[in-house]
Amino acid sequence: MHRTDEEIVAEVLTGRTQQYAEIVSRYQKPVYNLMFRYTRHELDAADLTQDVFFKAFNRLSSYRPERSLFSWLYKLAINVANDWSRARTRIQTKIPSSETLHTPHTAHRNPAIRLEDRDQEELLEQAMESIPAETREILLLRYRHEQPIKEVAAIFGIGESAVKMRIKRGLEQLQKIMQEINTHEQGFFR
Amino acid sequence: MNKDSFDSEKIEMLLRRHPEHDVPPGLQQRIIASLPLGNRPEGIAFKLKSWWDRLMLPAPMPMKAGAVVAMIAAAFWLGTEVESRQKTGETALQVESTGMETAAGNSWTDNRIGMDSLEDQAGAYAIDFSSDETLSRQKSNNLDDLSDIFLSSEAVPIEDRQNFQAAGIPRIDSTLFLLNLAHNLADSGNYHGALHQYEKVLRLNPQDQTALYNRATSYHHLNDQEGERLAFLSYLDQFRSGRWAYQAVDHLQRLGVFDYQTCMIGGRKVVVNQAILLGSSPPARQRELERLVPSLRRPLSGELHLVVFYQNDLQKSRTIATELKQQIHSILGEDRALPIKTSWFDEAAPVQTGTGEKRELKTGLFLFTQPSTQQRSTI
Repeated sequence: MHRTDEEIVAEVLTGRTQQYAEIVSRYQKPVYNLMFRYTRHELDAADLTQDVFFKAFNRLSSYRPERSLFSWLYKLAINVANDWSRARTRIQTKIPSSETLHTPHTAHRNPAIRLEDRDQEELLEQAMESIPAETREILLLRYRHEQPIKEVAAIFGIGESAVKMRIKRGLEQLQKIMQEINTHEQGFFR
Repeated sequence: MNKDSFDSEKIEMLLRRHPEHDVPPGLQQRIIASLPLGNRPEGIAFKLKSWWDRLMLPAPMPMKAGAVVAMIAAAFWLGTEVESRQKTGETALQVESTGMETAAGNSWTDNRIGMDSLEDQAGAYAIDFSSDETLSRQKSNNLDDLSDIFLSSEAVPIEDRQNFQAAGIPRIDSTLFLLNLAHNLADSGNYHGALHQYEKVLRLNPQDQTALYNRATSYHHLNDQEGERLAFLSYLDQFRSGRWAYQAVDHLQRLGVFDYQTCMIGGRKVVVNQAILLGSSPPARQRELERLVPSLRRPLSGELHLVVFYQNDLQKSRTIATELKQQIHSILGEDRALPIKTSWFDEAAPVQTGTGEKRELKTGLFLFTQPSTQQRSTI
């Protein structure tokens, strides 16, 4: 029999804490993937996922069934990810060494190999790395996880109109970046 | 490809089917093991916490507001009582008598108090004034000194370290702490100091991706080309995918090092060590080819092209191409019959650096696949 998230939470809060394993089973994958997008590292992502579920367990009494457990958990996960990002400010973003250098490439070109043929998912993945993390997560929550605008707004603590605007701008940014990658690398064989 | 190829609808569609990684094996068990689970009655502490959590929920009510005000007043009274008893009955740390606590909250002052306390072997007090956040705000060479003092185990008693961890602050000898320190030093232009810290991180974790990459970047800023070369080679020895790997290849090629090459296999960028693939060590070549297996096991349309250049030696280039082909087939096994088309030339491989300089490599190798039919149709 399928039990709702709210029913499981209620059971955990009444002392049947082992039921929490079901919550972990249901949501570990989206949380882990969220952490992986922030950390780009399997071990770090696993550590942060564990941290999220640990915190969620300790704060479960503050969960209100009026919201979905997924969005409550996701909000907690976003906060953990942001804390991690702040603590681990990467020097790569601070030192513009690569940006100031010209990118060499092999002169050998094969006209049959054109960037247009690259896997589009790969292209999207690259473009996603270039937009702000919050915009990226808003887009994925909306489209990948099919969350209502209202839930996305609650997760990020912003208004619904702001979410819609972010989505619109995010899609435009992705479109522009994907186009730029195409134009820049078109025809190169690297 | 024209711009319409990436209209909003297509991007939305791609986002909907955005692939997700599987969680590492055993993650759920690990999470569960970390939790205080068990069918047991709620303790008083748990009930109090639950009550407090619910009280703090954003639903303003007169009773709740009254309770909160009463609790704050009680806490304030208790605090003043405790303070007055401490002042009369206990010998406070020397720092208190200096009046420095009045300046607490200022990052420089906090840092100084922390350092002085450490030197006085007052570990617990030092920790209060030397939080990670404080260290992050402070961007002077004092950080380096403080780190060294912190990291000498005699200065901070074990109990204080445990308290430090219990407070949720990262361990001071953790890679996170050292990385923050290194980032701050690099940020202030002290690349020698940053390098020193990155090396410390790598002694703790030789595979730390950030430290490996940033060590190379620091060498670059110090204009130490040999250090930069070795550091980027170390990075690529560990990491072959992602943006930083591609940039590491670019850095090396700018330095005139063409050991690594990026190839397109199945629409994805793959970094290969062509120096090893063209080298004379079969075991090394085998290990290098095994790194390509995930890319080659993916469904590829058409054949894999393998092109070998060996200046003035057609026979050798042909031999290497044939051997590589056989090794790839051997590694993939019979269940993955990948057609491989080999080509060989007795010419040098032409390359061009970022400065526009044209060069010729005596040996070279290219691996690539043809675009799929579906991909062609989108052109």
